[in-house]
Amino acid sequence: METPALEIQALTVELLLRGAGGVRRRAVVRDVSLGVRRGETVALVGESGSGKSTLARAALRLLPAAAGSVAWDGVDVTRLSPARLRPLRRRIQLVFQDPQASLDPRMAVGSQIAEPLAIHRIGSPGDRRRRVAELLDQMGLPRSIAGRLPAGLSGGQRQRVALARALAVDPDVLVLDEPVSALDVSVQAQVVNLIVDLQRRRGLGYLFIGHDLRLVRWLADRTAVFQGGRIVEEGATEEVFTRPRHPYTQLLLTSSPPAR
Amino acid sequence: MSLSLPAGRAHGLVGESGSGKTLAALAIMGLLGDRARIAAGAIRFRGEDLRRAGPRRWRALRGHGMAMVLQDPLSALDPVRRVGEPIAESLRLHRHLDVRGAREEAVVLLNSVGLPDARRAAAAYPHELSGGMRQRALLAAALAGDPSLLVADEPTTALDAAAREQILTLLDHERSRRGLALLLVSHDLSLVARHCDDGSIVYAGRIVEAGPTGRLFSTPRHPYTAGLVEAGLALDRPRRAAGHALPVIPGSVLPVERFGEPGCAFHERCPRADSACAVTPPWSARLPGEGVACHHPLEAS
Ligand SMILES: Nc1ncnc2c1ncn2[C@@H]1O[C@H](COP(=O)(O)OP(=O)(O)OP(=O)(O)O)[C@@H](O)[C@H]1O
Ligand SMILES: Nc1ncnc2c1ncn2[C@@H]1O[C@H](COP(=O)(O)OP(=O)(O)O)[C@@H](O)[C@H]1O
Ligand code: SF4
Ligand SMILES: [Mg+2]
Ligand SMILES: [Mg+2]
Repeated sequence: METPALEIQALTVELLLRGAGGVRRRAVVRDVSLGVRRGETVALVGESGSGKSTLARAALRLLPAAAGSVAWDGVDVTRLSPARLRPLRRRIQLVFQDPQASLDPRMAVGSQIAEPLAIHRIGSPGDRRRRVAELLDQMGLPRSIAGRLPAGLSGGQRQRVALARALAVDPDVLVLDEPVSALDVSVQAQVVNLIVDLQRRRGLGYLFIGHDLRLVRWLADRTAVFQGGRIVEEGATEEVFTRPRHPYTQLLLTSSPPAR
Repeated sequence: MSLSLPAGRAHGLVGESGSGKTLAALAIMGLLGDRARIAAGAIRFRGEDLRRAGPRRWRALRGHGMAMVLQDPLSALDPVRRVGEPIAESLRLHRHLDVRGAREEAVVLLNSVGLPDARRAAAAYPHELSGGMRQRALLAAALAGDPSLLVADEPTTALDAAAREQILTLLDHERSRRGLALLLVSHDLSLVARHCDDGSIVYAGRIVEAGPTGRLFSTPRHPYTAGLVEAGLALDRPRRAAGHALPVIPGSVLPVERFGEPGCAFHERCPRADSACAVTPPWSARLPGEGVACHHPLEAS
């Protein structure tokens, strides 16, 4: 069997949660197993606050695992030191849910897209400039935007800059945490087509977190439904959508009628 | 841009990313800041000319009469205050509650917008909440002053489908119960169709088509509206076969520097454009609630 580009096994992630009675450690992701192969899109849908973004951050090792493991391309990274982790990081990139969180407000857009290339010492400054221009074209953004600060961009423009930045280093896996929910339907379709196209050309694997079930159904090979930190249902997308077994999946589906 | 919103009604503002929906919303709320200003026109709230309102009047208005849910919840919430505090403060002012009562009421309000663990959310700092929880906290804060106008800029993008319906249903209820007027900025055509009476389509800083949402989305007349509807419907078709792409409106967003150029702002991307479209602006007629700004609109039926 092919090694999954991202493999999460029996992962539990704990966070310190502040409650009325003080701070307590609580498992926000519980015993989750999930794999993403190259060329495959796995969607994660589910209740808001159920732990999807937390799982995403743990998959990138931005949060530690309390139990279980995370492997990138067969390499167990669960307990790898920061120094050993650094060269592997370009393999898996994250686009955050909140464009505000992925972009530095004080840095020009072009430099932000080039930054991961500089960090991983890829290409000459001239190469990087060309790559930035190419990525902006692919994202349907005017090249003139490279000199602007994020504050001068609309929400949708910012999200596309974040996508370009994640793609700059040619990762194996992209974790997309609601990458298009801030975009209008046409621009969203452009970005989705781009995502699909990139996958076909480069064999990228996607972990796609989203609330738009129509989009998930259109895009994903497999779908996992999350509730309360656990996967409550998982399977081939069409199977999950046409024969939902879990009551929460059924509730989600009835809340999301077709456009007309 | 012209639009009017009667009490109890909901108006959807739909349009391209970067077309100016958020700027319009901020202008209505007097929140443009010092990098933008209203250059011309008027904004009236219950007959009052808001361009004449001073800082004190604005504070009073924003607390009570009008409220806004900002598009970006992280920048809208104070990072060093617990989420429940501003809500409780607003409740204390407007409902004359004592400290403890206001704190309890804040939890009730957070619960009503569907936050599952409202007591914990009230005690948390914004970064400790998920994206969807933050959006709901913002909404609770906006509703705390019982506003008669709510401007909500993409208030449910981070919410799961069930929570989204719950919130829109809550707002429907506020509209019929006490005449709340809602200006909803959203990309979700299906949501706007189901929960708004009227809609306006924005392109490059102008309203290019307006009308009752039923008509607007079933028989769009402006080519841009038609493109949006087409792009939205495509997702309802069977799953992509190898090589199949979603329909898009070709070309890209007009950069803001070019918003004022002559002719129709959509002409470079429009399948129906002719040479006149590049020079003659189609917006001679104003659009008070119903109409289309286009030289060659699609047939009415
Ligand atoms: N930095 C943090 N500190 C403390 N608690 C946190 C932190 N980040 C998230 N949480 C909590 O962890 C839980 C899961 O949050 P997470 O962001 O993973 O949800 P989500 O499934 O991505 O939700 P959404 O769909 O709304 O984005 C929530 O209860 C949230 O309050
Ligand atoms: N504070 C600002 N300063 C300068 N330009 C801005 C600012 N906010 C938005 N813009 C520009 O104004 C245009 C409209 O933005 P916005 O109202 O956010 O669009 P929308 O909400 O329709 O996506 C965009 O081109 C954006 O780049
Ligand atoms: S005015 Fe001309 S270019 Fe503009 S939308 Fe109508 S047909 Fe297209
Ligand atoms: Mg999230
Ligand atoms: Mg906006």
